[in-house]
Amino acid sequence: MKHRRLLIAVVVLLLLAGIAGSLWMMRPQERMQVEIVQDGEILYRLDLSQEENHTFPVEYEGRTNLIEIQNHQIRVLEAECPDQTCVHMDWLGDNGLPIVCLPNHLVIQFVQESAELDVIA
Amino acid sequence: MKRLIAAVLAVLLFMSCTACGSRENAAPNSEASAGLFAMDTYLSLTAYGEKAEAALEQAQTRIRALESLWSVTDEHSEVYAANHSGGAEVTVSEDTARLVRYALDMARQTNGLLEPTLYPVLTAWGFTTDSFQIPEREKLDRLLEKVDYTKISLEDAALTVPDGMQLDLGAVGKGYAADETAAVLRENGVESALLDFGGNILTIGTKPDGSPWRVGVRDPDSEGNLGVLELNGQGVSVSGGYEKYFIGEDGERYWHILDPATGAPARSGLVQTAIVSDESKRCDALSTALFVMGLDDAIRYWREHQDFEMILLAEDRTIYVTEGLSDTFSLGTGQEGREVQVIRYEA
Repeated sequence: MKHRRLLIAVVVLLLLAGIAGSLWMMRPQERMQVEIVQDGEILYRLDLSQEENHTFPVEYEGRTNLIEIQNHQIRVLEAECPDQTCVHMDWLGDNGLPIVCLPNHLVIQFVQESAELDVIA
Repeated sequence: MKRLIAAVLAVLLFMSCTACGSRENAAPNSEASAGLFAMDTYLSLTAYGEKAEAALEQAQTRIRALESLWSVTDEHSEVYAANHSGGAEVTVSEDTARLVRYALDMARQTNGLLEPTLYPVLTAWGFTTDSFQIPEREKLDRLLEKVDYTKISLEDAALTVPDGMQLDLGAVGKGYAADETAAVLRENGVESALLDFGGNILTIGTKPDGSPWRVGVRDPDSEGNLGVLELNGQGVSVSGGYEKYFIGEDGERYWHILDPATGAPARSGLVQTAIVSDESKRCDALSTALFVMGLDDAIRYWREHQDFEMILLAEDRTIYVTEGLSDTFSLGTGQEGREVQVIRYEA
């Protein structure tokens, strides 16, 4: 009898652990994983939640984009390109749109695009 | 009784353990994706299925080939050759002929609101070079004399652009390329794909799990989305005055969608148009033309044709949605309480 109670207790514990594990697996993913892509090649994959504040350059055919990470956000601080569109886009935002620098073939985007949406038109 | 409890517990235990793994199993390992810079924008292609990888390779080759035909600035392109022939006839490829025919068709259908010869006027505003300026009225009038799609002639593969005129297929080129890309993928056995041609979206089938693609339609006033469109094999294109613009010395905002009648930015009372249809080139052409048209004419045009759907955002920030989208478009988070009008087939 005791043996059986113990068995049930173990099973219940395993069950609770299983449920807790499932919930943990299914928690909403934080939008912190960012990748910096040039011509389709991933140069960096960063976890913004782990990154210290700093700036670093990315080069393309001799032209530089200066990328800034601050307070777990990312943006293009300076760009050697004519239109400066990527600089004006400021911090990579919640709307899911990637930061794109067309002249320098650079894209900064969240690794997991908005969990709910597949793409933005 | 105890046996029953034990059995139930055992089943629950099994389910709770397998639930952990389901998240990873749900992601199909046969996803292939590609990103490339082409046609003055960033293209992102995602396809599913065993043959997705090889199909995407072929699709990219096709995109590069099309791009080289239509560039207005590339001296080796067919469009460049036609624009600089001094009014002489130029023989073009089947693809270019089809695209020109389509652009001229759409120009006719929209009474010239889609105007494929407007390029010199766009250049005068600096929209093609990013050196923005407000041109003099006389300069615009002089340039508009050379804007008239009816003067472009296409006989089979013989294209003639009169001397001094410039043909620009930019308003339909990306859409055409998206349609061709989808065709290449389908021919290669792809039944599920998401193509993003710089915000022009085209889908093939549904997602691999059978659910529709969820496409956010951006809100020009905020970081968020106006709403979410569920697509199953269709495309959507969005046009708005916020995409490319500059603020003039007079404090006014000047955007890149021009009214061919005036040569100035189209101020029709619409802030944004989104067009849904099976063909990306149709989405592309109509999102521009209907932006110029304005609300009332756009509704009239839609009732006459009924082979596409649309979401219009007016200056007073009311959203107008056509009846055919009432089940597939839902407002985004933070948009609760926004005025939404459904446009019916019958007036």
